[in-house]
Amino acid sequence: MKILKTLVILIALTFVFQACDKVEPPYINGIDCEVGTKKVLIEDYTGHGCVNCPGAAVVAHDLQEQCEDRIIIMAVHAGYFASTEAFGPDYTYDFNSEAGTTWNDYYSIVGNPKGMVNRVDGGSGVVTVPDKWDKTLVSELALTADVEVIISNTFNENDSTITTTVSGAFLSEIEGKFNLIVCITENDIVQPQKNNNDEIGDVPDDLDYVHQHVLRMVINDSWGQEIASGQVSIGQKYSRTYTEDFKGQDWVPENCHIVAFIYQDSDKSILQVEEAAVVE
Amino acid sequence: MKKIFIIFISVLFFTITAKAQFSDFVNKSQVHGSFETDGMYYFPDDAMGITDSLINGRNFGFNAFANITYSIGNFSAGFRYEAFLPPMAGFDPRLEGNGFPHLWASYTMEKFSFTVGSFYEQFGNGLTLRSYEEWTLGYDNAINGVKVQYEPVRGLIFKGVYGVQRFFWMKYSNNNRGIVKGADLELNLNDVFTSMQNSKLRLTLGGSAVSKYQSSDMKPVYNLPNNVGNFAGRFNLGVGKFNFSSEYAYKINDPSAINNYIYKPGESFLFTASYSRKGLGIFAMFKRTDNFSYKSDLNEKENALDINFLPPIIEPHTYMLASMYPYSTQPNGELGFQFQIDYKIPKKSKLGGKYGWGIHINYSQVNDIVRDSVNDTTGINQNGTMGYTSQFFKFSDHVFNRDLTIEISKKFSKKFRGILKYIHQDYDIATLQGHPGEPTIHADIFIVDMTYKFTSKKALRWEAQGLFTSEDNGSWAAVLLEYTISPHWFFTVSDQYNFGNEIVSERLHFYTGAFGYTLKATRFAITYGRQREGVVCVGGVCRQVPASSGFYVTISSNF
Repeated sequence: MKILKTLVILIALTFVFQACDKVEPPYINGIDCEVGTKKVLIEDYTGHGCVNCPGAAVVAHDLQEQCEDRIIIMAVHAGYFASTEAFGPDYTYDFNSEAGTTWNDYYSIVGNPKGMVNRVDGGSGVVTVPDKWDKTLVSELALTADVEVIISNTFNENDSTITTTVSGAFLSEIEGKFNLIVCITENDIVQPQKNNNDEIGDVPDDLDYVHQHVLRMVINDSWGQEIASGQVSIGQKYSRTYTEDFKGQDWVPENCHIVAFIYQDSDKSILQVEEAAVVE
Repeated sequence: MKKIFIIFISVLFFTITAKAQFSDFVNKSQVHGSFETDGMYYFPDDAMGITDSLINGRNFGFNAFANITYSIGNFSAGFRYEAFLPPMAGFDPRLEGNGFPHLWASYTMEKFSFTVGSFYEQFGNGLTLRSYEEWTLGYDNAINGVKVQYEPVRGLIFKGVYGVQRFFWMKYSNNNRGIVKGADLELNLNDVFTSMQNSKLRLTLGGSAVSKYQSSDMKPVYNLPNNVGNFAGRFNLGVGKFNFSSEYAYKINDPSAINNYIYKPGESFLFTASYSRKGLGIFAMFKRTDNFSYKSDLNEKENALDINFLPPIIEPHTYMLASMYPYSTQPNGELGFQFQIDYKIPKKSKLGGKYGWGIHINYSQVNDIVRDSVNDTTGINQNGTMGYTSQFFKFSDHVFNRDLTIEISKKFSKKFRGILKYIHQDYDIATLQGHPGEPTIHADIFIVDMTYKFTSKKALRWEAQGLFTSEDNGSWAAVLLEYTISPHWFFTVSDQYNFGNEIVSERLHFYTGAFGYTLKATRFAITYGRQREGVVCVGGVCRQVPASSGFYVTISSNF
């Protein structure tokens, strides 16, 4: 018995003392942007009343900087922190969108900042805090895309309409129901934002905060439109064209983008995403 | 016939034996438990900005738990049930759900014990490991795994733990949090060495080592350690009426969301000295913490998955207004000290009068540590770097919290006694409550607490309090009346009035009325009224409490 007890102590001590990894520089690995062909959509669920949200926007931006061509950001203002009534007279601008609210409710997002990376579960749930985005992002970037997304935009300055055609072909044999969602996002919107990080801007109220990648609307319904279902073969093509009117909106066409993505209806995971400027 | 008789006798014998054994089993078995249920029904309150749309149909909150422990001889086992359906306002929404978070079994021999399942444990002051549960915070970082304890000789105790921590309702899988392993050795020299058993010098030495394992692919952008070790040494020395204790802990590179992914090693140091004799107690404490958050998930920023515990150094307050600005421990860095004196002016002395006086003075201060850049090209606390350098004993000009408390307690007669208290607080609300840009609060608080005993069972207690500040929401006044009929009933009314608020429409009364009934170990209480927005802290760990209005019911029991 004594031997057994001594053994237990020795095993425990061995576990503890051999469990120390000292890391030598460089401390940052970076992201390998050459592997895989899939692009990644970071949906940053945010609100102008959320003091931690500017920090999350920086997290998303820093990730995007590492693989600019393969990472697309969409800032979805929804929920309590996007309220136009709860944060005083400086915070009455309405960033909310019908689709943003629908998705926010569907994913039961409570508290900001939260986000999704291609709407997949990277091990900590589909909706996670910003510090967990990079893990899912790296694993998604390493995948091969099942479908291509090509956006072609024409903006008519005479009547302020955007006509966007989203097309492409499936690149692998795949089964399921696949929907296309086409969104308009806008950069460089100067509106107040609550903030607790003085390295980003004024605290606690950054009245001239520059909002980026703001979801303005989904052109083709919050859950999009079906482009294929059943057994889909390699090379099967799809194409959809939509026209949307900018009149009556305070959106600046030169700052706007079309973000289009295809997702699998069964688990809502995104297969591929693309972004193109409204005014080329 | 003979055969039947033998069978009958045999059955009778076994039945009697089994019955006796069962009876013996039942007599030796013990079941103990505790239970609490807290429910809140929320009302809209226009003055407080609580509207129907804000409540959004969730007009109730329900928190409940039960612990049941069964023991027989050296064996014990138990479980814990919890329900947060939904959690009351201010509790982490990730608590929502119900079920059995803890199951455990334990066997104890004379020198050796082991536990499997969920358990709580603390090494030393907790700088390397402390798992505990605090119901008022909704905090529980119990370890689920194996714990062993071995005491080969009296005074020499070895402890070992291995497992994963509770993370709300999330089952451990797929590296969603780290694995914790640790060992602690404590040597009480006065117990081990017979020659020291009657010595005036009492010495205890201890050391602990803890490691967490979390696969480095959790955050592929960084080159992360898979294993992070945390080591500590401690002593407790008693010499006559003096006592000294200290613990120093060192943690290797532990980049995390809390420290902005820096690779600087962390350290923490505690030192306390005290002197005690009849009527006089003197206590002093020094503490330094540098980059010492230690969680089993490097991405976790909230109150969860803490492996260690950093003891607070600021005087804790319980009076309504005195607890308005509680200190929350800053794991990334703090440097503080505390000095306390308790003196009882003897009764029947010239100054003490018939019943004597009690005087309590406490001063505590916590500053930030000083951080210097590691080189000319690296920003202070820049992610993916060593972060900063810091001198051990150098106080930053940035004061997190300063607290001076002077308390006088006096018994005036057999029926009448009272407490007078003055507190001055300097409180960096921007850092401690996350209100960026808000100025440091300078508050003066006065408290009068009087109790009059009508009979041996009936007493009336009243409090009058004032908090005076020109910062935050301005000054407050509060009163409380509490009538107690021992041992069963209490009735309380109280009001906190924010008379100094610059915005006239926000000069609100936060009134409450409550009554409760206690029968042996069971307590039942109902409260109606308003709860002001604030922060609740226990041991430097805090949670935000939103403003609310409604009925609060609590039932608790032990058996």
